[in-house]
Amino acid sequence: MNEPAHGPVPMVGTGMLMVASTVQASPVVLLAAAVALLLVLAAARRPGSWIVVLAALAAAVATAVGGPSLAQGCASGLLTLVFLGTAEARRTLHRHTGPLTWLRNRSRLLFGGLGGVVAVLVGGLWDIGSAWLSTAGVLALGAAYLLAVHPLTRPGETAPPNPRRTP
Amino acid sequence: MSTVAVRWQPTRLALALATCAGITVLAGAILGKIELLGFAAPLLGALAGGRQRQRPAGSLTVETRLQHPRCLEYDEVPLTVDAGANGPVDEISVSLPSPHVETSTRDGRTFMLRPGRWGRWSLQPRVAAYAHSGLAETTLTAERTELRVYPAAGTLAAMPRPADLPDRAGVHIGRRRGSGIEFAAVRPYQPGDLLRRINWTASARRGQLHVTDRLAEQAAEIVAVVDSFSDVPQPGGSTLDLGVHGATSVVQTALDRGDRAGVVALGGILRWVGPDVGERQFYRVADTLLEVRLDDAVVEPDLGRIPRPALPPRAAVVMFSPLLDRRALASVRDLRQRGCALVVVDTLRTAPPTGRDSRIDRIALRLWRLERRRVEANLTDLGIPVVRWPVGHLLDEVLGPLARRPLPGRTG
Repeated sequence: MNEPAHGPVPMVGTGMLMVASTVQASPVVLLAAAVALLLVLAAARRPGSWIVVLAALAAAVATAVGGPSLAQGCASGLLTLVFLGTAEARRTLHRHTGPLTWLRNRSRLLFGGLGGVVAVLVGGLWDIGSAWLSTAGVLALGAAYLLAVHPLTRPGETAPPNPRRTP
Repeated sequence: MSTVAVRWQPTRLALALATCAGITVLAGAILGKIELLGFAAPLLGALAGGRQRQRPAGSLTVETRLQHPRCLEYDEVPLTVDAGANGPVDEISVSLPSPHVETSTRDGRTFMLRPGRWGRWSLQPRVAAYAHSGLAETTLTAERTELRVYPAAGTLAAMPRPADLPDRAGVHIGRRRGSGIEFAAVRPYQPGDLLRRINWTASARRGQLHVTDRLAEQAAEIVAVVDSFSDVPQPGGSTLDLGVHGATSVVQTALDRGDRAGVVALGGILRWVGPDVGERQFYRVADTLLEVRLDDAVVEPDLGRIPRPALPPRAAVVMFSPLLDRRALASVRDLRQRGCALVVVDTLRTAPPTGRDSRIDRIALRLWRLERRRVEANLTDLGIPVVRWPVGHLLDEVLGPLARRPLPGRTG
């Protein structure tokens, strides 16, 4: 456990970046950022708890009260994604053969996040209106949530045979 | 190899992403802040990007191979876990949670086990498979494999033996006259004596034939008794650890000398192995000792139940006990009444903890020490020597003084 990847350093580092990206001049924003920072530090001590999610939500609140641009919001969201990833790494990295293997298997998440950012930024260029975009976001969220929460294989269901192994 | 159907579940990361994204999008829609949608976009993108078109595997196959199911303490034993999936998965990882066995692995498949304590340890590798870029996971526990760790104990240079030896050929010089090499006496010739036993010098001096008698070389019967009624943690190994290691040393030494050795484990459940010879006997004894545990059942030991061959009256009994349980003390007296030559090794090395400035505690400790002395004195009065096994001393040093002369058995 002496490797830096296993310790809290990546988690605290990305969490601080996440919080710092939300800081604006308003005292309310500073307060929200301070709360988020405390939650990041608490989450670093308990990476397997729901404090991690609370820290990410606190960062979202700090973003909301700061009134940043769309690009700044996207940057905060991207850092939140990395923060949640480091929390997951801290919790599960010991089961894997190495940090690089773990990262390679989750690279699609990062690419997906970048894709989401690009999609929103491109969508923001067009004057569609925030209401339509919000509705689309809610629908996308519902689909993604069902996809993640619903069991992907039902009990008793067998996977199709792998053609590569068929003689 | 076993194939187990698995059920995939979302990982904590998937739930965290979904929760954060959901709340943020809802807040953005309600408050009309498009920046929050920008915040949620990477999270939603990650959820969508991680989803793969193919369904993950419906079952996992796990095969566990333990190269040596039996080993000694601190031996290194490789355990290989081969895990595979009948379908697409991102990664399969294997972990081996085991509180009693130190494990290490480099490739995540072959684990080097280094058990630090004797016993029967169950090993159940846990296999975790990940799919959808780590958004879905499934875990299963492989079939249980048992590792039998025998206590590592050396042989003793000297060991107590009974004065009364049974009629078996061995290495100990007994009282009976026979065909050994140790001189016993010179007596007049009797019809039937072997001619090669005639002592010509004595015959010429006394004017009639005399023969030289020699002492027979006999084998001893040694029974080690382990008191497992109580197990007190202490420096240098708990009382039960000391007892099991000591019993193993005694049995191994006896078997190496060609003596017959057995073991009796006193506890909630009485276990024994009658005295016998050979290397196979050592493993029978070791297997019996592995069963010694802190049994929860409170069963009064009845030594009358032990069959006579398991505890022969001419056997020398070496008992390892902390002398804390009254049932163990009763067993010592019963053994003595059976006529066994008995030695008790006190395995307790520590006194009860007391407060620094508590006068009551100090008085209680003095009373406890007086009670211990009374117990030792009672056993000594019965003709049972009690020796302590202090920290830093080998069992050789403890039993050596008792090996100088044979232990007396039944008197009268």
